[in-house]
Amino acid sequence: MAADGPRPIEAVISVGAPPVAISPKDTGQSARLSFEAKRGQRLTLVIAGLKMSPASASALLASVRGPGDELVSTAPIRCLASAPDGRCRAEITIAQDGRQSLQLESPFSAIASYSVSLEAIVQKALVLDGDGIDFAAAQPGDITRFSVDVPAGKAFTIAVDKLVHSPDVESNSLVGIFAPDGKRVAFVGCRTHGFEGRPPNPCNVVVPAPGAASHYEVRISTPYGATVAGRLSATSVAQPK
Amino acid sequence: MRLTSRAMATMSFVASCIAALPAGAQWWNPQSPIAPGKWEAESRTFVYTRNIYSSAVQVIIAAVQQGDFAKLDRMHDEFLKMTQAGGNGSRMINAFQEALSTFGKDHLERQQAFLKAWHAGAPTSKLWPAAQAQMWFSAAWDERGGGFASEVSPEAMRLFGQDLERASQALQEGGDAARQSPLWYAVAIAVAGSRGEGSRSLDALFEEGVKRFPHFTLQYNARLIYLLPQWGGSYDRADAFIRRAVMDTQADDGTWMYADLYASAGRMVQGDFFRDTRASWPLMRHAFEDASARGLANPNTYATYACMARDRETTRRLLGELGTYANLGMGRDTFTTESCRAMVEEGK
Repeated sequence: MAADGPRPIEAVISVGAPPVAISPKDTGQSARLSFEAKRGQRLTLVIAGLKMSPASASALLASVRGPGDELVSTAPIRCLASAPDGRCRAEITIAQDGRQSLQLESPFSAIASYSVSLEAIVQKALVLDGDGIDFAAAQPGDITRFSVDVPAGKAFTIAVDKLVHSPDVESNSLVGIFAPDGKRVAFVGCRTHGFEGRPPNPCNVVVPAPGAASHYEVRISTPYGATVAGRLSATSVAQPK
Repeated sequence: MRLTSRAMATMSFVASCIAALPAGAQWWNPQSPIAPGKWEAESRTFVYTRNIYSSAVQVIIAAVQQGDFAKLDRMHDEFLKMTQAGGNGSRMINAFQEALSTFGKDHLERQQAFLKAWHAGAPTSKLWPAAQAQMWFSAAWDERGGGFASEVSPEAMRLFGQDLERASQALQEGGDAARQSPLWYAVAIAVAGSRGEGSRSLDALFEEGVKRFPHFTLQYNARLIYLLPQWGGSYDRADAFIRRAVMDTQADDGTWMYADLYASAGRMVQGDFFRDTRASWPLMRHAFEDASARGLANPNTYATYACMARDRETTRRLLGELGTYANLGMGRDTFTTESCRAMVEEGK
C-alpha cells in the first residue's frame, strides 16, 4: 500500500470554546483534534468556512473516536466545500468518558482549510400549557431544541406562531418531535408563503398521547439558506368527555 | 496475459451518475416523471440520479435494436454538449460506451447492416465512426476470448488481429470529423493498445483526447489498462497515472477518479489487490466517500473494496446500509457477500 499523506496537524479543542482554525500548508494534510467529554454527552460538530484548493468537489471527512479507539460516529461526516458558507453540522453522542479524538481527513490532492468547533447541545425547557418561548436560529442550518414533559395519556399540540424566515424564502422550516428513544413521533413543515393566493397552513402538529409520562425533544430546523424565528408553544389537546 | 474479454471489450465505465441537466434534456427518457415539453416551459435545471444514467443506457440499446440512428445522434450531440460544459452531466456520454460495448460477434451481421444504414442516412454523424470501431473491437475480443496469449489458438488470434484491423480502419475512415466525439478517443486507445502499439502512440492519442475533452473520463480508464503489468507497464506507472487523473479532474469529481480507476484496474488483478498494486485503502475510501456525498458511488463496489482491505468498520456499516441489496464480490471468487459478512463477524 502507498503512504497516505503528510503528518496530520494535531491540536486540542474544548467543547463550547471558540472555533479552531485549521490551515494546512501541505497538500493532503489532515488534522487530529483531541477533546474531553463524558459518556452520554451530546455535541454538535460544526465545520465552517471550508475551502478546498483546488478539489472543490471533494469532501472533508470527519469522524470521532473514543478513548478505546472505538468509532463514536457510525459513518464519516462528509462536508463538501460547496455547502452554503462551507458550513456543515453533525450531531454526536459520546459513548465513553475520557479523551476523544476528532479526525478530519482531507483529500490527498488538495489543501482543505476550515474552522472547527464543538458545541454542547442545549435544550430550552418548554412548559406544557405554559406561555410559550420566543426562539431565533442564529445561522442557516442551526437546529433549535426544546424539551417538554408530558404526562401519560395526554395528547398535545406543538405550534409555532409569528413564523419569520430571513430572508423570506419559499422553502420550509421543519418542526420535529422526538421521543426519548430518538424516534420522530410527529413533524410539520412550516411555510411563510401560501399557494395560489391562499395563506400558508398553520404551523402546528398534534402529538398522540404517550402511554407513560414522557420527555420529548422538539427540534426546529431552518429552511435552506435562511434563518427562522417565531414563538413555540405546547398545548394539551382537550379530551373528549 | 490473462484477461477477461468482456472486461477488455467494455474497458470500464461508470455505472452511476448524478447530473445537472439543462432544460429539455429528458425528451429521450420514457421513465421521466415530467411530461415532454414541461421542462422547456419551466426552464428548469435539476439533478439526475443514477437511474437516469441507467435509463440512458437502456434507451441507447433499444435505439440500436430499432435502427433509430437519428435518436442516437441527437442524444449523443446533447450529451456531448454536457461533456463540454463539465460538471456531473459530463458523465452522461459514458452511457454510449456502456451500451455500445454490448456489440459483439453474436449479432455481427445485424449490427453491420444497421451501421451501414446509419452511415448512409447520416454520413456526418459524429458518433458513427466510434460505434463502427467499437463493433469490430468487441467482435475482436469475442474471437480471442480471455486467457493468456499463449493459450489462444492461432486461428482465434488471426481473427482477433483481423477485427482489430477493421476497427482501426473504421477509426481512420472518420477522419478529423470523427474526433468530434470523445468516444472516438476511448475506442482508439483501446484498439491501439490491443494491437500492441507502443506507449508513445497511446500517449499521443490520450493527450489529444484530454486536451480536446477534459471532462471526458473514460479515456483515463482506457489508457490505464495499457499501463498495467499485463500490458508491459507497472503498478508504479499506473499509480502515477491515477494520481495525475485525480489532479486533472478533481475540480468536477473530487478524488472520485482514484477509486474509479483503481476499481477499473482491480478487474485485471487476480491476486491480492492491496498487496500487489500501489492502491491505498484510505485514499480509496476517501474517494468513495467523496462520490457517496454526491450520490455517485456504487455501494456494492465500495463495500467489496472495504472488505478486500479488511476494513471491518466500513464493511459492517455498508453491509448494514445495503441490507438485502448487498451483492459483494465484483466477479471475484475470493470475495462474496457471505465471506465479507464472516470477516466482519470475526472482528467482533
